[in-house]
Amino acid sequence: MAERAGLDLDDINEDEVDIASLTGPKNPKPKIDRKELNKVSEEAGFVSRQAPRQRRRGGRTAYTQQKNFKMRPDMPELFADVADGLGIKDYELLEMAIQAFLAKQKMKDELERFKSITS
Amino acid sequence: MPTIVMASSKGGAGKTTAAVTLAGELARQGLEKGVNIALVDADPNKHSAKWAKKNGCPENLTLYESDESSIIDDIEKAEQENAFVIVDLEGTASIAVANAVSRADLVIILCQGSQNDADEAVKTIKLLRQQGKAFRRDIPYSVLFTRTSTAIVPRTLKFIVSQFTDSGVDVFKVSLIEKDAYKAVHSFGGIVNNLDPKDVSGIEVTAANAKAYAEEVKRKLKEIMSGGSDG
Repeated sequence: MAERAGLDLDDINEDEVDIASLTGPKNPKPKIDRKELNKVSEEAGFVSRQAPRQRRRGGRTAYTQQKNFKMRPDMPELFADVADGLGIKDYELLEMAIQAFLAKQKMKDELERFKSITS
Repeated sequence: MPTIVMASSKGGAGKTTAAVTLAGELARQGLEKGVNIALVDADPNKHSAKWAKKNGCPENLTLYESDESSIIDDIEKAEQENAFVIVDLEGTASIAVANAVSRADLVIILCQGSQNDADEAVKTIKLLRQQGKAFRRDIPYSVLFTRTSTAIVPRTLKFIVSQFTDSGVDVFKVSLIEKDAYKAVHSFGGIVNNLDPKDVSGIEVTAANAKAYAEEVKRKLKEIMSGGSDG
């Protein structure tokens, strides 16, 4: 009976690179002036997404607007319990819920808007 | 001691999957060899960080949470303390991305097989070239396609790959395939290899894909470190 040709699997891992061989000294990188780096980045369309830090008076928060709405009975208590459990304020919990909902629904524009409001 | 940055100015391109998969696979390979891996998460959504904080995260992997203002310092700190640094970034054209790639030994540009993703990948490539010119340092990069099918290669994907390769852009031979096991590690924690087949299907195929991806990254790094590639 003719013999089947075997699969040449002996050297299947031959081209694997040993991870330890890549742990030597790094290729040196030049020190970069950060202002110059920001300039080059902005010219390429890569801009800061971090809001400039504003000086705030002690105790003042960004939560200055009020919104009242009706809830089912016992819902306010549930809301407060969840916030307490997480160690956060109720208005922070609401924001987390909105953000999670927008992300889950893939509502990108609204998510960007959310980020611009909360950043 | 290489720094590998996952970059794409578009959300949903697969940066976190690519970062977590590479970090997990390198940590697996390096565990018995004393090779430590850093995972720097500068994405405000902190999906990589959440994964790293779950049970099952390799013990030789250290998480660094970062942001736009501290990303360069955080990368440099991680470099001092670890053999490999893998950086996950937000999917926007931000200064954080630009700052991180300035410290990279290899930038992996994530791209799905769509025109929009490819357009954003080009935007990142232009940034790398502009930085290269401004600071006289070529930043090696390669495009990695994500969420690909194991069954078919769509024409749009073929066209995009040919556009990149015809322009001299390096493209990974391997791609990250669309598999539930890649998503499952964010639910269960740990790496693909350690998932339970009772919970998740396709573990073997996904683990092989993750290994092939890590091997190609290592081959590219070896070439870069020996001075054989300019991206």
